[in-house]
Amino acid sequence: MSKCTLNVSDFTKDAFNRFIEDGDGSGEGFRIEILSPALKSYDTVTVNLDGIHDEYGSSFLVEAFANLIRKSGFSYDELKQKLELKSENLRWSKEIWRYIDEAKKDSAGSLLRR
Amino acid sequence: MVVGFKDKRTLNPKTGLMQVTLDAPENICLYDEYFNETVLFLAKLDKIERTPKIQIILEMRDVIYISAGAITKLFNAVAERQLYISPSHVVVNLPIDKNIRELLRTNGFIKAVMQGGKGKLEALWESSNFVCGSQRDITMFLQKIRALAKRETLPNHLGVAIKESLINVNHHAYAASSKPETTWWSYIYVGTEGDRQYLATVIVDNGKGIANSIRPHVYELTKVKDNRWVHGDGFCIKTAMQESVTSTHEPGRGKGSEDIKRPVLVKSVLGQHHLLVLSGSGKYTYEIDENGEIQEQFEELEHRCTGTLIEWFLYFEE
Repeated sequence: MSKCTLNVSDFTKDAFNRFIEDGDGSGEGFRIEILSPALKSYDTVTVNLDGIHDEYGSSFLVEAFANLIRKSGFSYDELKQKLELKSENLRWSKEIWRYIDEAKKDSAGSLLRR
Repeated sequence: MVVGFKDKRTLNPKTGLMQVTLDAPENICLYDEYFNETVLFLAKLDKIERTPKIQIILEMRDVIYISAGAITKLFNAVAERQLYISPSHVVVNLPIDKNIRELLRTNGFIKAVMQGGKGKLEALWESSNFVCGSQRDITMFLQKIRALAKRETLPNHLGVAIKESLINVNHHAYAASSKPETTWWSYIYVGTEGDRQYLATVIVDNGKGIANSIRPHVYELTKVKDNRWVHGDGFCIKTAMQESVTSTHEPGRGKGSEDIKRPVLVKSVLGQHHLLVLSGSGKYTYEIDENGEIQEQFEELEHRCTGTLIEWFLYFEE
């Protein structure tokens, strides 16, 4: 089984921008350039959330993680199977999974509407 | 003191400029009994024509008190006109009172409103508690607050609240076609009450206001009766402060409002943390009372100010 570890702090120390056009270190940039390719290449991807300044903005987290389902074509089950979140701050990983759960519900709703 | 400017216009024969004198109230304050007078004063300042043919004399000689929120609005109103109209478009006559004058000197207000433009504003980052910028300056802004607070990490989740607020300014406050180079204006104040230390952080923008952003996008708010919106700006702000309410209609948006309220939810033994939002003619407050209950209130105001003001008043708990 192939594994890799990503440190968000290697990408940015100030994790708050949502879109690439907002500036450096955006959630969208992290998803498109770093996380999504890693999830496609490895069986398990561990994201180390520690090492940033202050805290994560929800805009960054939604765009980086929850929008793997809404915008990058990953399924909820794939993320459950492949994505591991690591942090001393339990609230961050809880918050990310809450946003991913919401994206799963949105995704289910969109299937029903088809 | 009577606040007004209609009869205080004189032509300066030396400069050829029409001088408009506006008297500030003694207490420039966005809390308590001074609120209406202060909002009226700021609204009158806002309505003065934006042309280099006019010079505004802001008469503050009788001022004895200025609150954090009000001084940020004043910084924004004066420095923004100096930046975009003319460096000498507004001249501020400082208070006579020694105490308030000393405060304005030490917190950098005097430098912030002296005549000048872009160069003056850039220099404020080194020497003042008043700064302004755009989305690209957020990281520098957070560093500035950490330095003033003498802390490596901002207290009470304030960092994330500021980040989300300024992202909202960038995404929602201005139309893309009319977004200015400088989108937000701020004042940071670290103060003490006895042995208690607190941090007041205020952010102001000159955008369309929260109500104008959110109202057309939320069905309940779009009802019109007698050609007037059923719900005022205060109600719209309260609605916008609920999680997942967003003008974008996109799933996953509208999470920032919880981040903005979060600093106030941190348990305090020193005093009540407080969040104030003023936008258009609406006022919104969020705090935890002495019994630990959330107190969320909104108010429809008599007078309207441009843009939006967000203020966090937080005690340092450790």
